[in-house]
Amino acid sequence: MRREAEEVRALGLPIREARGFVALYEREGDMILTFCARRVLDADTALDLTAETFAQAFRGRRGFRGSTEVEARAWLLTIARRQIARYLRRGELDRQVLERAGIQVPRLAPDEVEEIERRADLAPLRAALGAELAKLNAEQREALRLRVVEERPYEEVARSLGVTEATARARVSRGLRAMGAALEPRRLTGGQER
Amino acid sequence: MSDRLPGLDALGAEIERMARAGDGRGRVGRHRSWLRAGRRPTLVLALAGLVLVVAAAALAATTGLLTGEPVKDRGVHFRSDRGLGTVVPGSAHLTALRVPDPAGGLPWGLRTVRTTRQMGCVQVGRVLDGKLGVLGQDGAFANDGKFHELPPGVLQQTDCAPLDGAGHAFVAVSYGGLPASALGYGCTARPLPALAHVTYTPPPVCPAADERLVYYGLLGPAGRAVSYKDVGGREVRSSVSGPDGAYLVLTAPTAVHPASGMFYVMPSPGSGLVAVHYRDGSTCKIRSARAIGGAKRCPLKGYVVPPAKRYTAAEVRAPVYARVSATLARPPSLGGPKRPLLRRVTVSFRAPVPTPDSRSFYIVSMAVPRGHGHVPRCDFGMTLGPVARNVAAGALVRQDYWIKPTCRGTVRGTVTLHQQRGKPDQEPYMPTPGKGDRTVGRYSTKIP
Repeated sequence: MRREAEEVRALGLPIREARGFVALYEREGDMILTFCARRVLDADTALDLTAETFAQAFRGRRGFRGSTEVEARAWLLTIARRQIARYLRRGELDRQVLERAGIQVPRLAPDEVEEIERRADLAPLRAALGAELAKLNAEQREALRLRVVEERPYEEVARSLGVTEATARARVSRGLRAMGAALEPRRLTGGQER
Repeated sequence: MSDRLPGLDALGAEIERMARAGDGRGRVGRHRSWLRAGRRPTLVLALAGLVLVVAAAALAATTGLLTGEPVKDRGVHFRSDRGLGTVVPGSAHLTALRVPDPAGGLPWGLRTVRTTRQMGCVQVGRVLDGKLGVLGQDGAFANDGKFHELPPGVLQQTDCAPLDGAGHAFVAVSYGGLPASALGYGCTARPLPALAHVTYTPPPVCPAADERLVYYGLLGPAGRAVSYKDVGGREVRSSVSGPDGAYLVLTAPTAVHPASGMFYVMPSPGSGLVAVHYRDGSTCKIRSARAIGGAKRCPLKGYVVPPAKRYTAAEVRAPVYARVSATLARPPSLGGPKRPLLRRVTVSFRAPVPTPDSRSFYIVSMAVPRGHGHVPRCDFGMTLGPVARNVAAGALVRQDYWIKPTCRGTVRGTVTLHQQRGKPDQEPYMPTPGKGDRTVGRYSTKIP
């Protein structure tokens, strides 16, 4: 019932107006923070990504064509996914977007970190991740270690393992797939890069 | 909002300040002319590129497919005494297999090579004038549309297996989404899921029409043919080529068999194909063709166990030492992005017996404490890395491993000698655990 109501509930104020945008944050800030936390497994980084998401959303607010709350939420999630992917790809936050927006991201107190971890259910996620890692064979874990901990490019992972780049990619991606499944089964697309 | 976190409220205040300030400024980032100064070079380059493409197309129409620079190994210098080794000069053989592409154009072909580390390998690609190569499309060679020769020595585009006792390789590659370019890393069939603490740059997703399901390999001397189902669901039999039993099957993905992006190198076919036929008249039916990688594999008919000296436990026993650095350092790099600061774990031992080729090697295992059950703090628990190189008896073997600075406790591990006995390993340097292995020694050291 709640979902149906959301689908038809029109945005009270257009988000291109300051009050409308603030209302959007009030409505969706919690959800975006949890969404980010479950993907980066870190509360501080999740808050940074939440700030980035809203800063990017504000920049692009005039491009939003929706008129309902559910459309606004989907739009925000798309931006959040993009920011998370960027962070995971580059290993660093997008400081520029925050600087441009003039946003100072507050620092979290230890009890807030714990609360975010509790709300995002991170402990079971980490446990699931650990369990999936334990299921991988040791060679796959070694490939993952080289790629993820040492951040080596595939060419170097391959050289270290004595295999072709294709095989190294396959081992890493099998491991990543398993980890991805542990983190969020619905996100597993079945894909694997060579 | 009563249970709102103070941090979120504080961020909310920042958002509100941004929104109100932005409202005053009016249109943010709108009505920027696409012809503003910063974009002009892009436009000029795009127009120049268009002119070049048109010119190239005109040239291709009159002279056929243009040829570009050959494929090269990326970043890694292969050495004759480690890993896959290097290709033995004169060992390359382009088989007679020619398979049409569903979209037309150059046929696909298969080449075999041998390496200095006693491996037999296969290379797949498009064939032009008796040369194996790849096409500049699907992200390869900046989509230049040209034919790029794949020299036999390019090992990154090669799938290998250790030779058996009779000098044959048994290798079965299952590729659920190779781009039509024939170059594996230009694009990918499916994106990988984004994950925490993983920094990687995935290639773009391939155009669906350019994905191919490709099954190729070497059945050995006992292989006669393979059967597969074409896109119409009809069973097709395809004969092998040459004494190594080379086969190559290629189809377009269908709704029943989509491009999964899965890639496997195994000793014998176990997915994708419908059956393997042998010279003795027998047939191996592959029942679970859809379960890629999970199906029961066909027997290795004609496989000869390679000769390997059997060592006693005492002959391979040697002291193993390990040291964990007190300071942090960056792992050595061949280039690319700066590595993170990590702690080095050095494991060393004197090789009690030689490992002259890929069919025997030492394995160093390492168990790293996970730290408070918080996986991202240390990662991965036990790992296992091969010493994938020629080692002389008595030579000092020293392997560096890198762990996160947040790891605490004791690092433990074992060094074992692996020899290929019985069936070959599932993948090169990926031994079946414990089978035929001898323990060299164990180590244990505390993280400072």
